[in-house]
Amino acid sequence: NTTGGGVSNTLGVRAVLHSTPSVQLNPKLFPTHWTPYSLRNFHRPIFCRPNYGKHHKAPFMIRSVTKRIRKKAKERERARAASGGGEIFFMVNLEDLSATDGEVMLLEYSEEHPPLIQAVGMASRVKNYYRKKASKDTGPQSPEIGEMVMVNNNSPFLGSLSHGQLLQAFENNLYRTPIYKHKMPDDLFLVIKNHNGYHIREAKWLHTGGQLCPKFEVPSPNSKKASNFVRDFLQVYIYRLFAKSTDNPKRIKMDAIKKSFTSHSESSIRKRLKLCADFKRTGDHSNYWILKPDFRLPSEEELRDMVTPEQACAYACMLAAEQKLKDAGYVGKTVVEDEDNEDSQKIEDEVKTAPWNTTRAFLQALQGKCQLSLTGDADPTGCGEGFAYVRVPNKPVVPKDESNVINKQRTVTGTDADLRKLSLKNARQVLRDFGISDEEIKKLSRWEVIDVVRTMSTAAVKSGEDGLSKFARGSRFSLAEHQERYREECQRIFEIQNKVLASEEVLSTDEESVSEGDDEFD
Amino acid sequence: MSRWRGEDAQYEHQFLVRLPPEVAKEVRDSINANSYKRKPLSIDFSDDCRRAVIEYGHDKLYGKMYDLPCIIESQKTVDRKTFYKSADVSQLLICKEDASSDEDIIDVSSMTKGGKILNRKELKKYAIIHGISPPLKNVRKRRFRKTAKKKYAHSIEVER
Repeated sequence: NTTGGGVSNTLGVRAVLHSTPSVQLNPKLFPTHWTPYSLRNFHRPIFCRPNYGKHHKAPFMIRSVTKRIRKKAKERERARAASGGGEIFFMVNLEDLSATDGEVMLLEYSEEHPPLIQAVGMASRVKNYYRKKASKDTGPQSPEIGEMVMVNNNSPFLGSLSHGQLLQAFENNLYRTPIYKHKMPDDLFLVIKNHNGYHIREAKWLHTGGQLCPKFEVPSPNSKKASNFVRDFLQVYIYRLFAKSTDNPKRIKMDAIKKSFTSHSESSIRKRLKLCADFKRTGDHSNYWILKPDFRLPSEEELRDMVTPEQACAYACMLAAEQKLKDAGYVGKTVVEDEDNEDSQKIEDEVKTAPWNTTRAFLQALQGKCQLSLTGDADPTGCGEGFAYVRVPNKPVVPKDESNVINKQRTVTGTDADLRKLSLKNARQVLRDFGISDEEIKKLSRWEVIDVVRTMSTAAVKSGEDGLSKFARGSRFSLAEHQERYREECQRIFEIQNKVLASEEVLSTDEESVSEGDDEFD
Repeated sequence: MSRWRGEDAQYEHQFLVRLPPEVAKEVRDSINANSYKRKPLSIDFSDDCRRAVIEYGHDKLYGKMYDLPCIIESQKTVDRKTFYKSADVSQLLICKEDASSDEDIIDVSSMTKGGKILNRKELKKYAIIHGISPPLKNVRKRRFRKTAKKKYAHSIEVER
C-alpha cells in the first residue's frame, strides 16, 4: 500500500449479522417516505408524543427494568445451554431491540453530520486493536467490551498505532470509527418509552466516537445508483406485500403502497406492479392486483440480497445531506459533482463536504487512486482535529507561481544555470555564499565543488529558501517524499484526534451556559 | 404509515435524564437494589414536551428537555462483542429541585393530547451546546464546522 495511512479493510473480515427486522427492511426502522422536517431531524428524533400507548395516562409511572434485565439474561442463558453452548441469534423481533434488557452502551459521535448513520436494529462489532511492544509483550489488559485484534503496521486507520498502543473501534458494514471510553456521569439515566410505558435504567458504558472511516459509498443525488435504489426498494416492498398476502391467489391493493410511498407517482408504482401482477377491474378480485400465476416470488433470502439495510442507510444519508445543502441555499446542479469531472477545485467547498463526495474520496484514496487533502474547509471539526476527505491528485501539485522555476530547470543547457559552464571561480563564490569557509573550499576539486553547489542548491530550494534555485536539480519533491509527507500528515491528525477525544479533562467553559440562547449555531 | 415524525422511525423512544446529585444517588441505589418500588417515580409533560414534572416519592423535580448537539446511539449487547443499535438518543431532560422561573411550573391540568412541533426559532432555545462525554464539552461552538450559507438560502419555515 503506497498511499499512506495503509488503511486496511481486510482486518476483521467477519461480517456483522443484523437483526431480522433490519434485513427485512421493516418500515418501522426504514421509513418509506421522508419529509423535509424528518430529514432536518435526521437521527435526532424530537420527543413530542408523551401519551403513546392507549393504557397510559398522565402522570406516567417510570419503572425500573432491573428485574426484566435479569429475567431476560436468564432466558438467554437457558437458550444457550439448550443449544449446547453455541452462539444463538437473539435479535429476531422488534422487541428484541429494546433497551429494556441486555447491556447498553451510549456512543456519542463527535461529528455533527457523520457521512453514514446506521438505522435501528443494525449490528456492529467492537474491535480492540492492539500493536505489540517491540520486546516481550503479554498483551494489554482486555477492555470490558469487544474482541482483541493484533495489528502490526497494517493499521486499520489513517494513522498507525505505536507499539503498546490500544485503540478501540466500532465497526460495521458502513464504517469503522475509533471510540474512546469515558466515565458515565453519575447523574445520568436512560429513559425508555415504548408501548409498555416509561422505564428507567443505567447505561453501562459511554464512548465518544471519532471521525468515521467510511466503508460504503453514499450515492449522489439523482445518480443512477440512487434511482436504482428507489426502484428496487419499492419493488422489494411490493414483493413482500405479496408474500404476506394470505389470499389465494395472492393479491394486494394499490392503496397499501401509495399510502407508504407518497412521493411516488401512481404510474411509477404501477410499472413495478406490472412486472409481477395483473390488475383486475371486475369479478371477485375487483380493484386488486393479482400475482401472475407463472410468477415466482423471490425468496426472503433473495429479497435480502436485492436491497440491503446498508443501501437504505446510504440513500437516506444522501437525502438528509441534500436537504441540508438546500436549506443553506445550494440548489440544482451545483449540488452534484459531475461524475467525469476530476477537477474537484470547481466544486464549492460546502458541496465537497457532502457525504457522496467524502465517502467516495475516502474509498478512492484507500485504493490508491488519489490522496485526501486532510486539512482545509472540509474538515468536519473546523479546528484541525479531523481529516478533510477531499480528493487531491497522488502526484505533487506545483503551484502556478513556481512553474517558472521548473521551466528554467528544463532549459538549463546554454543558460547561466548550466553547471558545465559555471567557472570554478564563480562556483567557489556560490559556496562562500552558502557560508562555507575558504579552507574547506580549497580542499575540493572542481567536480567536487560543482557537486556541492548542486546538492546545497537543491536542499535550499526544498527547505523553501529563495534565490538559490538556479543550480537546483531534480523536482522539488520526489513522489516518495510526497507520499511520506502525506503519511506524516495523516499520522499527525490521527494522533491529535486520539489525544483530544480520549481526554477526560473537562474544558473550562462557563458552566452556566447550558443553553445556546439567541446565538447562532447552524 | 411510516413517516419519520421523530419517534415513529424507531421501536422505542429513548432520552437521557439528568437528576440532581442526591436524587440521582437514591434512584441509582434503588434501581440497583431492586427496591425501586418503595418510592414511586412518575413524569408528566407540557404540551410541547419541553417541560416536565418528575415526582419521586414526595419530591418534585422540574425538568427542561434539551436537544443534544451530537448523535448518540444507544447500543445494546448481550455478548459484549456485537452491538445492535436500539435507538437514537438526541435529548436530555435536565431536572432541578426548584423551579427557577414561572415558566418551569407547568399547569398539569392542561396536559396533553400531545404532538406540538416547535418551529426552528423556538427550537434554538432548547439547543444545548455540550455533549455528554468530556471531550465533547462545548462541541457545538468549538468543534462543529460552520456551514457556509449562500445568500439566497430560502426560508426553511415554509415547507413542512
